[in-house]
Order: sequence, then C-alpha cells, then structure tokens
Amino acid sequence: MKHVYITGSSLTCALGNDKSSSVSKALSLDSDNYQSLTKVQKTGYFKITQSFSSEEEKFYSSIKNTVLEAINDAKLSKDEQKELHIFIGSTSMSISINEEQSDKYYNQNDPVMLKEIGYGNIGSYIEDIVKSIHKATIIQTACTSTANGIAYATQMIKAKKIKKALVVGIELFNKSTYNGFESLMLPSKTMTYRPFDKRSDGLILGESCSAVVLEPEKKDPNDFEVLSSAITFDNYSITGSDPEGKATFSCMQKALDNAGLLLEDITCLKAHATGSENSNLSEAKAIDTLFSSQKAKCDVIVLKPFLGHTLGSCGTSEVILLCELIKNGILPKTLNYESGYEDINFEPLKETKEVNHATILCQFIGFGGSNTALILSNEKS
Amino acid sequence: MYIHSSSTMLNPNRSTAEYKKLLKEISTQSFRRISKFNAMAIYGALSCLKNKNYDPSLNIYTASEYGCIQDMNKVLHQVSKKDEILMPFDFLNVNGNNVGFLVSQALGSVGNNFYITAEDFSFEKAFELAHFDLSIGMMDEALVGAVDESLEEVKDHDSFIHNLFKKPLNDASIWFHLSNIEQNSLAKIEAVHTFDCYSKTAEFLKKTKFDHIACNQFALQNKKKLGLDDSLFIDQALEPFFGTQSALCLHNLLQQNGSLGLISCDQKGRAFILQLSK
Repeated sequence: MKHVYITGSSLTCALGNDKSSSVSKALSLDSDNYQSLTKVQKTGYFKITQSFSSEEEKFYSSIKNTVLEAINDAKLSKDEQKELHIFIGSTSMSISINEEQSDKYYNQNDPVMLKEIGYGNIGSYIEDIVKSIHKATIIQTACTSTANGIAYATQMIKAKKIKKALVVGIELFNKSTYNGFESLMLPSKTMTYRPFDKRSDGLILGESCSAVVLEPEKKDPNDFEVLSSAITFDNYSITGSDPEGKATFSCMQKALDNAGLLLEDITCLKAHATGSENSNLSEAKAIDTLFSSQKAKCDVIVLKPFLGHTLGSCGTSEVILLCELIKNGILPKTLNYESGYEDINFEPLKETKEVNHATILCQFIGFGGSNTALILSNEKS
Repeated sequence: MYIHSSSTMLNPNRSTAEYKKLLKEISTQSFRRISKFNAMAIYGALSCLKNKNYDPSLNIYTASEYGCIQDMNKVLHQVSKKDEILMPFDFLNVNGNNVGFLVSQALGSVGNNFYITAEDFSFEKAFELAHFDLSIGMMDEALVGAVDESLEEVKDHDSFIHNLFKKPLNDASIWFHLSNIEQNSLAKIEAVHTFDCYSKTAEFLKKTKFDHIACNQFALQNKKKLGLDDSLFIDQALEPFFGTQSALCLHNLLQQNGSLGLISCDQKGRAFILQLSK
C-alpha cells in the first residue's frame, strides 16, 4: 500500500506571520487571554497582522512567503520542486484585488475597472515560484476546497499518477464575502467565537494563507501520514446543512472505512464547527450518530476560535495547526466553550490534553453541500 | 471509459432572462434568482442528459476559465458603492462552486460536484479529474461541463484574455456524459496524456496515429513545432472564442469516426492529449 505524508507545511494567519509564531501563539492562548487575539476582531475579522501597501501585494506576497516556507520546511531540492503538482483551494480567491481596483474605478475615476478575470493566473504564479513543470489545478468547493486538494493529491500520489504535491489555501479579507455573510446573518454579533456552545451567536471570518507538501516518503519520524479521505454531497440546500447531518455522518464513516479504522482507533475528531446554528446542530447530530453507531467516543476538537473561519483555506490551515499542536504535545481545549446544546450527547474538549502522537479525523463542510473528511496519523505503526 | 453523450450551447452574448426562458422549455423546476452563468450551466447539463439514462450518483465537474463574470461585476459595483447593499443571492451567485449544487438539483443527482479552473486548461483539468475518479472506481459515471460567459460587456476584455486568433466572443455551455459502461456509448476514451513541453508532445504525436485531430488555440498556433499533419485537422474555422474553448473542439471532434485526438497546449508549452476511438 502506498503512503502519503505531510513533509512540509506553512501557516500565516491572525495568530502569526509564519507557522512557528502561529503555533506559539495558539499554545499560549487560554480563555483568560483570548481577548489579546480577538482585539483584531474590532473589524469583525481575524486578520493577518502584517501590513501591505495594496491588496495585490498582500495576496501575492502572502502566497509567495507561504509557498517558500512550506518548500523549505519539506527541504525540497530544486529538482524536487519541479515535480510538484499544485492544488489551490479558496472560496473568494483574489476578489480583494478586483475590489480594490473597482473601488478606484467607481469612486476615483480610475479608467481601469478590473485587475484580473478568472483565477487561473494564481496557479501560473505558484508554478513560477516553485518552477513546477506541471499545470496547477484550482478547486473551488467552498470551505472544503483545500481539504479536497489534500484528498485528491493524496489519491493521485497513491495511484502513482503524480509524484508529489503542494496544496495551497488562501483566504483574505474582502468586502464581497464579509457583506455576503452579513446578508445571510451569519457573523457573530458578540465577537466571541464559541462553536457548539448554546450561547453561540454566529461565526467570525478569518484570514489565512497555508500550504502543505505531500510526498510518498517521510522526512521526519513525526510527519503525519494522510491515511484516507472521503467526500460526500448534502443536497439539502446551498447554504444550509441537512438537520439530521446524514451526509456529514456518512462522510466521516466512509473515511474510517477507507482507512480500515474504527472510531476507537481515532484520538480526536476535528469538527468543522462553524458557529452558525444550522451548521453546528447538523454536524453535532452527525457526530452523535457516529459515536452511537460505533458505540465509542473520541475527543472533539474545535479550532475556529483560534483562526477564525478561514473558509476555503481551512482544510490546510486547520490541519496544519492541529498537527503542529499535537507535535508540541497537546490537544487544544475548546476556547470560550461552557455548555452545549440539549439533546446532543458529546461536548468538545474542555481541558487541554497531553498527547504524544495521534490519529485524527478532520471534518470539513462547505456551502453547496460539499463534505470532506481526512484521516491523518503520526502514531508509530 | 466512454463518452455517452455531449451537448453544446453557443450564443453571442445573451441575457440572464433569455437563458431562464430557455430553461423553462426543458425543465419544470423553478430557477428564480439564478445567475446567467448558473442558468447556462443547468441548461447545458440538462440538454446533455435529456432522454438519457444516468446514474444519480454521478459526479459533476464544472470547468470555467472566467467564472460568473456578469454577476461578479454586479457584486463589485455593489460593494464599491456605499449606498448599495449586497443581497444574499447576488453573493451566492459569485461563489463558483454553487453551480454544482444547482446542476445537481436540476438533475436530481446525489454524487459529488467540483468547480475547476486552470489557466488555459480549465476544461482539460476538469476532464482529467473526472477521468481519474472514473479510473479508480470512485463512481461509474461523470458529467463534465465547460461553461463560460461572453466577455463582451467587460471593459478592456482583450487585455485579460488569450484570444489568439481574435475570434468573436460567445456564451458557451458544453457538457459530456462519461461512463465506465460501454453499451450505447458514443466513443471510447483510450487514454489521457499530459506532457510538460512541446518536444515531448511532438515525440508522442510522431508515434501515434490519428485519423482526425482538433486543437485548442495554443496547439494550433504551434502546429509546426508539434509536427501536426494539416490533413488531419477537422474544420475549426467557424469556432467562436470562449474561455473553455477546447470543450467545443472535443464536441466537434466527436462528429468524426476513427482514431481521434484532442490536442491542447497552454502558453508554457505543456500539453493535454485526449485519445479517443469511435
């Protein structure tokens, strides 16, 4: 059986401008000092703190720095970089760049209306950074975009269709997404992110740029292996999940089946946990169903209070953050959580827990009905 | 692996209302507040599977080079003007992946759907992904679509796009039904090949016998470098321009018989070759 490992990764987000500072900040966060992170939420967003002269510079510099950090982390030679197949996931892509230009066009009499049409050029830009000889693929499946990138890259490496892959996720602040979420009445008014808590009043969006390098051989004994994936479709509604959580349950169950594992083999389940009521309840129901059908439980991890909801890039940003926290010996407690919904028979992890290694089930859910589950492990076989 | 049906819808720039009217002719479902892009996609997908048996668990792969540009401009205008409010449906319409949900809803399908883009290769990448999923038995059937709006209404559109032969711009929605089942098929997919430079592509083409070929614009522009035999080309003179143009090349190629080849290149000289027999 072929294996696929995350041999390098990088993360830029509200927690920090690189992976190391992001993980250090996450390790230091507690409910007591949580406001030190959330002061940036005065804008209603978990923003990257670095300053840039324009949206264009922010977008392309973030990508370049993140990609180079992941490549360095994986210690790829120039020849190895050429072999990278690139998968890019994002919900809003580079719309912030067009917004900036459009603002000048409509309000400052700038004759140019748009900076870009379509998003394929982002792939070409990353190909040039790593000198890849292969064509980049952009997958847009909303909040499952980069999770699907990891799933496809893994399957293609296992099928020997490709040798190695770079999966890049990017989500930056833009008015279209923020105003769009507001129009759907999804953002939190209290500015405290507390998914699965009965006081949860919505989500808080977040910025991130993150990348993972996937290869068929380990570089470090602690590298996480991608054991399996599953993708299912919820045809309930474009923006809402089936209240019974059937597609989410079947997604997690399929990922377990594909890995040949039972729930008792799983250290923790990283829930999607957006914070919006419909999505929370649907996913909680699915997790309940999984636990009852397998007559077992595992710890449930919630990461969005650390990062904000990083939409299409959450597949890479949340996988990286969780893997790095585990490598640092902890499973993080759920920030801001006090008490859950009635009729739900589990609670997310309430106290930080020490771990040496872990097998994790990561669930992602997106607008448009997309569900993706990934199982990763750095347990010694 | 086989192609079972294809549909093509090509029009000079038309309005959302006109596409909604077309949709009403082939579907009893209500499609209120959908974008032009989504209306075009649904119409194309329904046309491709009209009167065909299909597995509702088929996966849907929608390729687009430029996406829902008309609604994108509307949203950009709304967020640029302080007195304008972004409405939920306008926001949802610019999320490209929602097209998969709407097509799926129109077809009553329950398989997965993906929205794919790759510069000059959006259709090729979507086709390659569907081919990969079918080859590993992820599912038995797939629907691959190429949807692009005419950019006629976009200011300075020529500065953004690669319309090498300055062809007229069109709206297009072109779909293919793929299956692992041979019965009632239109053509057999022999192989999908990819190459990272012209010389490797030319070497492959030299060794491979085709009765008919169709090329995207970069392959046509570099036909000498690729060593392509002029006598094998199908007539592509009247093909208009849209972002995912190679889908039309494939549709037209399927009108021929024998050993067929769709040859696409990008601006960096990489190639995608779809080898078919019919």
